[in-house]
Amino acid sequence: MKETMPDAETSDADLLLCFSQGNSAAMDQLVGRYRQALFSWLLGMTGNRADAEDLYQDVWFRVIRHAGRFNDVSFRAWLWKIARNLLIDFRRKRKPDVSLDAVEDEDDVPLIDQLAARDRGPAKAVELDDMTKRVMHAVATLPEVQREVFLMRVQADLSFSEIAETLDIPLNTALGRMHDAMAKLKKLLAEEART
Amino acid sequence: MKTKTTFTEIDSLEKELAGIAPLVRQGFLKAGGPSAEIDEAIRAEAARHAGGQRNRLAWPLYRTLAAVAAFALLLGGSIQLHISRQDSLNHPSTPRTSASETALSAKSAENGPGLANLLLEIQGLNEDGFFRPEEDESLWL
Repeated sequence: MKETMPDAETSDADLLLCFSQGNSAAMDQLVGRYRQALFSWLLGMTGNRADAEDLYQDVWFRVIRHAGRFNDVSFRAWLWKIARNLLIDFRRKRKPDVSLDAVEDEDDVPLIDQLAARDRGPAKAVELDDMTKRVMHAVATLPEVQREVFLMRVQADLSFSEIAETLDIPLNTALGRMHDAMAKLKKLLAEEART
Repeated sequence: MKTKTTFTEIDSLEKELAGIAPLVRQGFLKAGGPSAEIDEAIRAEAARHAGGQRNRLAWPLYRTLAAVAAFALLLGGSIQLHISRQDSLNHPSTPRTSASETALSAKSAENGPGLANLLLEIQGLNEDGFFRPEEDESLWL
């Protein structure tokens, strides 16, 4: 069977179907679509690049192995459901939680700063502009339940009803968490701007 | 009017988000994506799994071919058997002489005129021997 590259407009569900029929190029395309968003979400939730990479790989391995079982309405929601379940398992195994702006022992550098510098070397470290840096710090200080909803909306681009379904919570709870997250971010950013 | 309240809330949340979301995305984008090794591992796993799927899908074809071959073999055997039976019905073969039959015929030969003549000759009662041609008579005497 010769592999044909699915075109860019093929839906996620069709790509998954193509992959289930033996077309690995379809999975490459699907991974490409969610590469940055999923990794960013995991990075935001774990605050640690190595953990985010491990989880990112596990999520895709699970998608690959269970592609034939996909029967949800939205692949995006299914993907984040898998990611969240793996994150919960990961947290159960490794209790201490590290937040995005937590400080590591060696250099006393917040993880948010290390993220930019890692893999590029100190000389090539990408400078985050001041505003982005402040927003990232503020996001990192959000309580986990709020950060989860916030990043699902911002990074995963899930609708509020998809977020509610993924987290198995009522829509109003999801909206409430988002509302609280936004209020806290605004407050934090206003405080930082004053200082 | 709960639904209306929810929709209003979503609208206002989306408006607030529109200002902050690009900054968050930009920050994470600058933090980079997964390493090339992770991407490669995922690609390899996908290729391995897709290969397995292709083999699984090809299995029924091989099984169908094997079933067709087995059926053809059975059909050929049946036809061959039928033909040979028809042939034997149309051309019955000559009965074979068995060993017992041969022994029986030998026995009947022993009981035949040859033996009777021999016995008569031994007893000197075989009249066939009295009538000899003249040229044999001197030697006889």
